[in-house]
Amino acid sequence: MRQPGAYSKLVSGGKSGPHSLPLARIKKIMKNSSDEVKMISGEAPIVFSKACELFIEELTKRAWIMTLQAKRRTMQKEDVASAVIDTDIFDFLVNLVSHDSANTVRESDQPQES
Amino acid sequence: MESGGSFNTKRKYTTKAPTSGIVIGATTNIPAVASDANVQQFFKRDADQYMPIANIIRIMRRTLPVHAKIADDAKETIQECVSEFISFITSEANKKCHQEYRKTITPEDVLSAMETLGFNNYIEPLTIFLKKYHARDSHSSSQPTLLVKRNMSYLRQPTAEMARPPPPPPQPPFTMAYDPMQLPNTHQMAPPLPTPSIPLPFPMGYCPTQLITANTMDYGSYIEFSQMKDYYKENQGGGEGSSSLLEFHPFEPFK
Repeated sequence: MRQPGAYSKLVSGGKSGPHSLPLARIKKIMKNSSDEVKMISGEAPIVFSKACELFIEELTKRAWIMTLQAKRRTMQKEDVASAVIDTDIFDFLVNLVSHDSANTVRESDQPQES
Repeated sequence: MESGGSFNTKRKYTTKAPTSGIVIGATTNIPAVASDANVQQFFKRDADQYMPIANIIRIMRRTLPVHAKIADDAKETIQECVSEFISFITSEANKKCHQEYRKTITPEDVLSAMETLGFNNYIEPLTIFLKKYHARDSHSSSQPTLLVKRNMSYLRQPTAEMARPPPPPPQPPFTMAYDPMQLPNTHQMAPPLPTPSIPLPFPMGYCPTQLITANTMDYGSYIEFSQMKDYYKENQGGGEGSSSLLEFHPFEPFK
């Protein structure tokens, strides 16, 4: 049988227990996306938990490429912004990353983690 | 692509107001009431609107080389991007639901929205993930789950089916009515075997794939059997009379 090598994590290392990302939070964000969102099937957040993982992985890898191009070892926000601008499917994020960099002061006050 | 603002418009509270940013101490020109409200909004906003940053950092770290470092603002930016991603896809999925007069966003809507918006690369891994999720789910429950590949309505009512004389069974070697080669994970010789929990009155040699249960979800071309998997393996290449598991020969009177 053909082994899906690119997705080996899915075959052998897939989580059987709780999902990596909290489903309730995902559902909340889905509901907040628009007033018209009425009902969400129970499995849609599960799809999103995996989709967000894939998204984070892709965005992180692309940003890291930018970091390497700048010959650094610490990924900065500008690397994420460059990755977004560079990728067509991330067009919906362009305003988010450029808007943030235009703000000199961070809006959030959450504790910094390293 | 839509130009303009983010999809999460609700979370942009005071992006341009002088109160944005540092909350403690920067209240000299702002009424006390407004600044208090803004303080609460900032804390509430992060808790509700974003995925937990610890999870995001974990995923980032396992993606990057071991020696890589990540600036805090990069983590926060990605955190915001994730929420935006969810909103973006959800809006598109919701649009599709509206167009089809449905109220509930299903996983299929999500996947179809991703395809529309250019995230085709995600669809296959997500489909596999969902399949595995269902497999785990059905293993944990006591009933076997059959996921349908094809929609052949004449087999929906097994009891009605029994009343009609079935077409002659395929003689060994089996020739299937459709080509099972299209289906990954399918066992080619797969006569349905009734178990005590599911009365399947299908004769041996019938393709079982059109049986529809309550757990049916159509993901395209695959079939998945949980408990029955081993039965099918055993019967591979078998023809009539090959099964030692069954004493069921409905075609005896027709021979």
